[in-house]
Amino acid sequence: MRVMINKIKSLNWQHVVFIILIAALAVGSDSCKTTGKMSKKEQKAQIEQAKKQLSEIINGTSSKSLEAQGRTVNEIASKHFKDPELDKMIEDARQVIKNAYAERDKQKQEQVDAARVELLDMLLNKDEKSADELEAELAKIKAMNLGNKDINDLIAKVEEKIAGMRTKKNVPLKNQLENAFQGIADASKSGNTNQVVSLTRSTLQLFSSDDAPVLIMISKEGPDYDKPTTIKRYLEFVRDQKASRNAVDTYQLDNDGKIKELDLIKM
Amino acid sequence: MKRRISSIGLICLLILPTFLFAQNKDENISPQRKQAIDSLALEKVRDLSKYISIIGNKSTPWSESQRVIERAVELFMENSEIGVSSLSKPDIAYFKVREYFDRLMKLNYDRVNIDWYKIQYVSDLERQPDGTYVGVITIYQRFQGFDKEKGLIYEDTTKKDITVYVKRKETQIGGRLIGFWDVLLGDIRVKETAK
Repeated sequence: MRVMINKIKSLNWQHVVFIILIAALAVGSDSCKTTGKMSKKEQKAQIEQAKKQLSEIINGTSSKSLEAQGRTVNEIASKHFKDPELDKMIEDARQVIKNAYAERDKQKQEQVDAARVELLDMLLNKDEKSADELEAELAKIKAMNLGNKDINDLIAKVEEKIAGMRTKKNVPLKNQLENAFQGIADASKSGNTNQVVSLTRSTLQLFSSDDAPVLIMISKEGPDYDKPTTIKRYLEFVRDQKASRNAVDTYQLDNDGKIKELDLIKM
Repeated sequence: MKRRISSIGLICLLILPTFLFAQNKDENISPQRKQAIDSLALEKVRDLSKYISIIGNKSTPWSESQRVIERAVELFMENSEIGVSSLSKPDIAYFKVREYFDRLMKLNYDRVNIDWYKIQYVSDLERQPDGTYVGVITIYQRFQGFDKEKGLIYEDTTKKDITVYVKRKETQIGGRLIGFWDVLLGDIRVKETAK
């Protein structure tokens, strides 16, 4: 025991403390190495990885969305690797993404334009397609999710038209008009004033205005017409005469699907 | 001098066919088109007969009668007159169109029936130099006047001639040039009145 105590007393404590301090510094610097600046080796690896990602973007082989590609480029740029080749690739990638956005916008506009034409055709329905057929075509356009206000408005109008067609049991407009004319004539003949008024009102709703012109062809040679009138006056005429003497020949619709001009022909 | 006369004669010979062609081209309406115009004019007279029934009907609301009078007046040329006869009076009275309809509406019966029948051409539509087609359509009118309590108190049958004028006109409809036949009725003259 006395020997041990003497040995401890003989130690140079200053040397011991110094050694402990050096050891502590060594441990500390090792820790700093894991959380501070990356090593050149790591930086090089990251640059290579970045170049690989940018190369995919520039070549168009990236499977990421345009938005994700943009984020990738921004992330790489924010690291400021200060590699000239990398910087050039960043610029090239940005240009490629910009061009891709422009191309996407152009394609979308073309889709919007094509959809607009199709929707207007559906409102006109010159081929007299059924409600089911129109609905199938409309579903394809809706699936495009174009997110355009004009297109959405037209979609709503076509939906309204289809709903109207289903309500009227899918009767083409020509038949609707002729049925209305005959209905007004019959109601007038039987003295049913309420029915006359109701039919007149609902028929006028098919038209762009009460003053929509109505032409009555009396001879295809010429062609020759009776004096032009308006739809309101024509319906009054049918009511007064208690007879519907003319068939629907053609009609023109406005952008809202309303009849703006009606051609009749003598039966 | 002789040479000048023969030159003038030659020029006239060259111009004349052109002038004739222009006239003939205007007159060149096919039988089918002429038939369509004939039918149109006849139809206007039938339309008028319906209007007269509505206007004379005591149960027609006043506003309706006014509307129908407007439509009926539009069928006529300006200053046209309509003859009215009676079994009790030898003279035939002629009234301007609107005045005739106003009087018709106010006839002193509780109920009135006016029917036109045997509506047909007595003189076909023929083209005049100015391009207007003129013809005469005859009608027979049966008039019956009723009293609420006494029933039928007056009845007569009148034969009337209506002059019709048809002219081709053009108008713009929605960007299209439309050629139409404007049919206008002239005077309605009483020819016979019987019980």
